[in-house]
Amino acid sequence: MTIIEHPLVEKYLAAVAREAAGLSPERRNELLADLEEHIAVALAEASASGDDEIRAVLARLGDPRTIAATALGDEPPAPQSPGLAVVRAVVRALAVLMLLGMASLLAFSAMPALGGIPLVGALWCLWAGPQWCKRDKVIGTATALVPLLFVVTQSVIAANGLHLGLGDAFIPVSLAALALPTAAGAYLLWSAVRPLLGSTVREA
Amino acid sequence: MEPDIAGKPAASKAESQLRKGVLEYCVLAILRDGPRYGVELLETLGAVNGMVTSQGTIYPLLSRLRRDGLVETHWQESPSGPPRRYYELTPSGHAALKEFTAIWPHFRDAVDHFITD
Repeated sequence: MTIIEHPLVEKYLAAVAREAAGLSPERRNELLADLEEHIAVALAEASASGDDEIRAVLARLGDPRTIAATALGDEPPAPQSPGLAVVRAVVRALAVLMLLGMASLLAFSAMPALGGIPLVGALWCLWAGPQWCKRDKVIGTATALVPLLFVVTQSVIAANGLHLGLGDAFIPVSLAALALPTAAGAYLLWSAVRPLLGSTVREA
Repeated sequence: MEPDIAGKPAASKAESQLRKGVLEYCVLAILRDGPRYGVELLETLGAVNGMVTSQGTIYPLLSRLRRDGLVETHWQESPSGPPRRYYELTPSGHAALKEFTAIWPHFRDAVDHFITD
């Protein structure tokens, strides 16, 4: 029987494992291995293996709860308060929504090139936003470019004396191209805020 | 030798908070002289009263120092007993200790300034 299998030591380590249940398995195993080594080394150095000597080593190590609490206190801090995170995500998503709306309105104005300014702003906000996954960012970017592409295509075709062949559908299609980025902005707002609202509700 | 836990006054809140702030730098300072293993490190810390009350709490601290890249560890066989896990300062550990060593006198003087008459 090694010293680590001594009932007193086993009981002590089991108590640490129980109190440290909140740690990740990797961190908990490391802590237990460190304590095991400490106990074995301390006893070997004192050439001791009696129950009283084991108790003394364990007493100096301290209360399993205190050790576990120290380890838990060193766990990476919980993400920032949900309230603040929600506000930040909403502000960023609203900025994207507004800029996308402005970009599509300007694309249909007399000076479509001006739409490029809010468009760049919207894309910057979108790609810098930690709350969106890659897929959302790609969707946002693709839809943001629709009005500009529509206007450019239309003017190129008009300049060549052709027509899109949309006929009566021209106005609805234009409106759709105009509305698409705004709809995407609303979707991005929703997808940014939904998980945060979920976590706030769970914590409350 | 059974330590007299019950007879020891509970560490005050102020003391334990101060210790929490500076203990890791004391550990880094001890390691400046060369690699040490856990029990050895605790003997050095324990020689100064009040630095460690519960020895086991040093291991979560060492684990964090390792994850933060301030120390690295290696195992070494020993003629007596099990292999020891040695802790050694990394260059970032040396840098962190140097920074703390520069800050500490000003900090200590500032506190002295307020608490002395």
